Amino acid sequence: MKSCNSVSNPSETNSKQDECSEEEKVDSTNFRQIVGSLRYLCNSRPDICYSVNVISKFMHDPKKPHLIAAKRILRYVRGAMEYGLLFSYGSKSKKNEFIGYSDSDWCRDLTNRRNTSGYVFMFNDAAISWCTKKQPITALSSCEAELIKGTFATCQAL
Amino acid sequence: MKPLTLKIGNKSVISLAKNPISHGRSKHIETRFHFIREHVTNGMIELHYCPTELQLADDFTKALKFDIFEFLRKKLDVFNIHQL
Repeated sequence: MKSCNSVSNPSETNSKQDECSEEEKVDSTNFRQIVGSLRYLCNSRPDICYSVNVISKFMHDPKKPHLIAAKRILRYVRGAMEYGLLFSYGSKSKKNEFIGYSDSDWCRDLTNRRNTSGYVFMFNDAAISWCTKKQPITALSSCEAELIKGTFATCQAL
Repeated sequence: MKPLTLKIGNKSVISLAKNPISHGRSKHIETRFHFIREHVTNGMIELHYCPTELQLADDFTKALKFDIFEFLRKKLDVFNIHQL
């Protein structure tokens, strides 16, 4: 993957992944190793967090489309090697502002119709804590989904 | 202590959390998810509405188009070290 062409974003716009039971199987050990390494990278790179979350749902039985999605993230990382979080000091520093953002999607998961939610906490305009997670229960309204997310974000905040 | 600002992209959640009255429409929501209400009531958390364009957490819930993705990446303070 060292000399691959890079892409500009880690996953295809509006792509949805499901189990793909008819597709060809791939080497699961290799796939798990890729996902494991990307998970580690997630700790310092908030931008790939969502895409890694999507492919790690298929660790138990990876198929070809999942490996393609995984390789796309690797290609993105290849192109964004020089990017990193910047904790600036001085010029634009504000008075220790701490803001949380929380959001959830609506039925992105095709197999069990659960929502994915994410939150991020910003301190002085830099991300310090972030998370993408599939919600534990099926929500009946987007309002409920957002409320669940809000609760998780609150837990993290405290 | 100053309350923490949490930005949410859904107005009904904010009114649900600010108004600690249970009613028929929210009966099905599990009690543990009303934890946020408790903290809004005792002043630990302050909820604010945030329109989609400014919702930084969008990056964590959907696969975005490149221009929006790049905008949010910049907002999250992820920069190229050679372009500082």
